[in-house]
Amino acid sequence: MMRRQFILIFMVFASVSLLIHAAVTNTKYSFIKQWGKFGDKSGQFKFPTMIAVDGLSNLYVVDQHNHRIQKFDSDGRYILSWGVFGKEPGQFNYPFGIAVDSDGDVYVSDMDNNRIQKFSSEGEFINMTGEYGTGNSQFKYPYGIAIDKNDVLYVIDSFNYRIQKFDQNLNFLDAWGSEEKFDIKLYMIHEIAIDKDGNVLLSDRQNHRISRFTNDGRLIKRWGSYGEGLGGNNGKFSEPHGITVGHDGLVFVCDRYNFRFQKFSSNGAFRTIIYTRGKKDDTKHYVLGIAVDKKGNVYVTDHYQHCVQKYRPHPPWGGSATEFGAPGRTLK
Amino acid sequence: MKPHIKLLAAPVILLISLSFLSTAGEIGQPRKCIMIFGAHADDIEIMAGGTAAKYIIGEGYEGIYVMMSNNSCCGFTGRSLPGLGNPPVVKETGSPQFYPIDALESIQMRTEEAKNAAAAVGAKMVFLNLREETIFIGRKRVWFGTEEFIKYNPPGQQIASIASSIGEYINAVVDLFKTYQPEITIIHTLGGEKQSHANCGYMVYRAFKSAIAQKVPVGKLWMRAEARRGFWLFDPPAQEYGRGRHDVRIDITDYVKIKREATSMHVSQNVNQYIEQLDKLIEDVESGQKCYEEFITVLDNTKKSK
Repeated sequence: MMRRQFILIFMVFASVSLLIHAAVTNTKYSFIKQWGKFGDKSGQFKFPTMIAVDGLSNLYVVDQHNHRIQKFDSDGRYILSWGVFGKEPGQFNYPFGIAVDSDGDVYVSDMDNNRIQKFSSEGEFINMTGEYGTGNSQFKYPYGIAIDKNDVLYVIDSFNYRIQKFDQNLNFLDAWGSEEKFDIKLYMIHEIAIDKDGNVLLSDRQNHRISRFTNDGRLIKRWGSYGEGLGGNNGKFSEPHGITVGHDGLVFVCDRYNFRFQKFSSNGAFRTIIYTRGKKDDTKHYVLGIAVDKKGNVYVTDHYQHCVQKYRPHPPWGGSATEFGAPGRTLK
Repeated sequence: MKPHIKLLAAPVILLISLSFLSTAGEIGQPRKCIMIFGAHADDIEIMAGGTAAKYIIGEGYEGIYVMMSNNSCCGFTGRSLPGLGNPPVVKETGSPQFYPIDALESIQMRTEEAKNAAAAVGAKMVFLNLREETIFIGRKRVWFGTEEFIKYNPPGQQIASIASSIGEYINAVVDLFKTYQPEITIIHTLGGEKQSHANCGYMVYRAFKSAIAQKVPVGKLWMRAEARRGFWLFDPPAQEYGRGRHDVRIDITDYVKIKREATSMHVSQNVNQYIEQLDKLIEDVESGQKCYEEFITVLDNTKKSK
């Protein structure tokens, strides 16, 4: 009797564990909506780059060739925007990266002005740092930025081949990196994220892989290799770009020339591939920037088709008619 | 002399003095300065890198490098250029052999490479920020005038081929001549090279003539003649034209290594084919041979001055 009960309890426990494991590892994503097209009106974009989400699930999109930031709610409804082309505080010259701190303030890498600007969630200018150069707080084209749980800002200082760190007031803290450390030449890494342990994740488009460093620049691990089209199996990339970490610690990477994004465990184990598509067709999307909100919804920008897409997670036994792109499937 | 005559004489004397000073400036000699105009950053080193090093490092000239176009349609492609057959410089882990980059980043990259190359000889970089006729958007090559080019709207001014016929742009080059008053100016081969090079050369040629007409003290305008081992003028018609008889021969034997160093800064341009040829030249030099860069004098303002 006891033995039967034990077996029964074990089987129930095992089943539940398997279901939970399946839910975690095989979560699928449904395409929810897409917004934006080429233009300079509210809600339109010209070559959007990075995207960030705040604690209220509002989205901030870098509208690069309009030299502005646009803010949306999680359903893509336009809220506000700020910025025009120029050198003055609050103006931009080809912005690229964006991040939001724990207070809801927004940081933008103002790439061709070689500076970082800080704004309130309403777009009011707060502070800035940077100029062209090689010293501390100087930049040669700052690209991706990310903020850790302690509100330390990390900036990819691309043509100085280094990462610079700043506090919330944009005071310089530290810098590390070199071409040798990143194992690259010419093609500087553009996108950065901070994982749940405070390590730095870099999306290495040249070598088609993800690199994880400690926050002071010691290499921990690299994963990924080149694969495109039919050769682009799970965990392979063709020019990975945007990278972010969800609230559950899982890592999301834009796999631009495979027209998809991939999800990994915090240790780099492959979990899921999600192919992007057009609103009503099979248009391929060149995903560049990526962000995940508290509910696990994924938002990606398409740099060349001037839009943002939203994907919603659901367990493998759920799903909807719009779900597509099972792992391993390759669009032709 | 009566006081009122003194009062009248003073401004006359002043005017005569100013007139004399002005005339002295107009007929002044060019400064000890060498200016080299390249359609793109690496053109300067390939065209006249040894000559620049000789004049700037060896003879103490002020060196001014002018990068005319702010971009390149090629960027680094990660594959060999047609007919050159050399492997890419950059390590890639299985990428397709075609790896262009967007115009925006290409501009940044080439600007930085230009600065590094100029620094190798102590030259100052000047950027005219003209646009290229073609750019890359993602992996797609896009041509000037197309809807996609207009949408992308890359930073920069007019494209070189159009700018070469617009006074505003030519005057910008004249202003450079007024500022630096170079004794030597070097340009691309007129009429023979690929379109972007020829247009840039022609634009400077027109500006140089205009500078002479405005009595700006510029010296000689040289254009590139045939390069040793033929590694400059790739297309046969250009080679024929470029083989016009050179009248200037600069001995760069002592400066080939510096030319190599400066050329190697242009990583994005797949420069290894040039580097290999420069390495051969260095071997030649080490075995006792001489090495030259050759030019054809297009305009000589020093003769008129004399």
